[in-house]
Amino acid sequence: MTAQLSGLWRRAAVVGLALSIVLLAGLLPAAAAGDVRIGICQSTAQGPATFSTALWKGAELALADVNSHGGIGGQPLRPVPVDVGNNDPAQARLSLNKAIDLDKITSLVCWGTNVMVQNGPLIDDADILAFTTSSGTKVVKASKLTQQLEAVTSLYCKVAAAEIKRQYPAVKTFAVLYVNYEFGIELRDKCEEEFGKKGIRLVASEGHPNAPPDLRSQLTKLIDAKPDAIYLAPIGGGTVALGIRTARELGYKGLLTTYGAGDTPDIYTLKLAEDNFFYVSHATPPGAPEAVKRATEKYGGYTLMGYEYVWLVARLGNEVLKNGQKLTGNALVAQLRKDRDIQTPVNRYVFQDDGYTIRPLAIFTIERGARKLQHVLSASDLE
Amino acid sequence: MSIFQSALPFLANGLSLGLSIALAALAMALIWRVVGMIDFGLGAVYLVSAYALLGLHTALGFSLPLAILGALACGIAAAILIYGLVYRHFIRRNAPLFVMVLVGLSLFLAIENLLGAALSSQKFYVIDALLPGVDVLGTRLNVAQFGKMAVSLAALAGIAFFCLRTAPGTMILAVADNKRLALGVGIDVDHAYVWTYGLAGLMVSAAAIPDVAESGVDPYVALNPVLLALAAIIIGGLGSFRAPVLGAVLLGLAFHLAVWLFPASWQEVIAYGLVVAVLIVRPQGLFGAFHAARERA
Repeated sequence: MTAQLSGLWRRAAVVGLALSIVLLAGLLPAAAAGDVRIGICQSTAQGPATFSTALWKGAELALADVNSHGGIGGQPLRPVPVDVGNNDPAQARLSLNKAIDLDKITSLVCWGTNVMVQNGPLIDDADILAFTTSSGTKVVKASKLTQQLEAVTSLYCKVAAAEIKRQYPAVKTFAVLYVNYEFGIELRDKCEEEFGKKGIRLVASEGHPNAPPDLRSQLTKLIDAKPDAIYLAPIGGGTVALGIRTARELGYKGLLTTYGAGDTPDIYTLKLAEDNFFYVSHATPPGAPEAVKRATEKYGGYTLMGYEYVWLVARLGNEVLKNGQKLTGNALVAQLRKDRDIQTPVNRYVFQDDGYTIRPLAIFTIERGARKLQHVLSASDLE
Repeated sequence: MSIFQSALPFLANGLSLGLSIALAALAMALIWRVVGMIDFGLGAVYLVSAYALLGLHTALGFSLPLAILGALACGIAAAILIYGLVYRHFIRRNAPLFVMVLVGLSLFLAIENLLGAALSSQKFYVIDALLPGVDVLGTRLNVAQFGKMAVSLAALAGIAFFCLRTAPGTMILAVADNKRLALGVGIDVDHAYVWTYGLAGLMVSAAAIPDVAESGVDPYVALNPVLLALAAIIIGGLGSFRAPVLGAVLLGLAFHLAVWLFPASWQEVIAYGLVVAVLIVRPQGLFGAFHAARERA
């Protein structure tokens, strides 16, 4: 009797285990059928948190629209968050491996020069299309399936230098306050080069850690060099705000400027940013969908990139399927570079074979708690 | 300009940063001496005070002085609640130090991310205009910086007075000196802990309020003060309540003088190098180890 019971329990355990495996197997490859998964990098770390929220909100808007029109080949698109920590390549690798192996993502949008460069081979091995919102010039060299969605550092610096020459002709010297890692150093060097072409000389530069406790000593040194302008090159809006506040508190009256890091609500609500400050970022054209315009005002310029990422993946995906190909990174990137000149509902992009992209940029100032568009430079202007 | 003159702005800013770190360091040191834990949960208290100030002043329209009082009260309440609802459970079970550190750290990270998820990770400003200030030693220090320095020094004097001249203070010192003996003579240790967390909450709130007035509020504002406070108590030691304050001042000076002497990219190398050097050469801290039976505030 005891032996019979023991055998029964053993059989029950084996059946239970088998059922569990079947159930788990059904759960794990959730992306195997029914939808197309697309990865969106996310972070709750200081700095990246603000623009990763904007990226997600923009993607949500496009997803609603794309999915209501049949997604890709009748399959809806579904976003998968990929946590990159505090721009940490190792954390990003863990999250990306999970997104590739378990969620079966077909594409990714992510930022961070270090994150993208170190994970470039992983993207290529997994055969997924990656768009990057990083401005680092090295990013696309590390992966043949990665395309810039963002303007590179040299373009940002070129546009800022041209604007200074046009609007602030008295500016002859400048200093750079940069986040002390690969991206910040690149921005410093490219700006020295591009500003130099316009006759604006770099007189000082100082680095700072990400999310610094204060910037008073760095700015004291920079201001001592008496620059006519200071270029802020951090990775988050909060540090731009701290830089503006500290510079003004230390009595600096000259021009302050930055790139897309300044395009966040952290800056919109800073009254001190309303005087003698401009930044270069992405405009929302009048013809853009109303919901996108509203979300951009609320969450900042990265909203547009989240929206356009999803829109581009959907368009490319449908084209690839129409051509009888599979949804692979190689097929998607080949289609992207074949189409090359693409007008999204928001902007016109020129996607180059080398992975770089010419995209419109715009000059903004801050006024009454919001960004104020000064003027737009189209892709044609920048080509 | 002489070399000495060129150093003055960095000295002034270093002193200001150091004394602002000192408040959180003092709170951390107090909890260590009395309860025996390194409390990263103070970061959560910092956040509660910061958001309370923001909410009371900007959302509910309280005047700034009233909002400051409210934020201080919220900070004290948060610290006592965290003790009562979370730490007490572990302390009663004699949880080892590393468990207590993990509990505090987890609580801090959970609150930090909760604020980011439930509210926003956006930065909000309590005072948007340029803070009034005066030129001191070749730099401009604002009222928030003066406030932090004055409150730090007042807190150091205040905590000494409280511990030596008031009944709850002597009760806290008795528990800090010898918990078993304190229990033996009938002191209510739980009561002493409540006072300790309340005091620590007050000090952390007093650190948070001028910080927030100067730099705004977001869910991540507490991380630097907590890490710097920990570095300060490593440098200074826990031999007396003066030790972490002196450690904080040294750390602040290291942060700023490093930039005076070298490119700013060396700032953290030098400041945290100081922490490592102290740990190697004098692990008990530069200003003496904690000898419970002899040391007093």
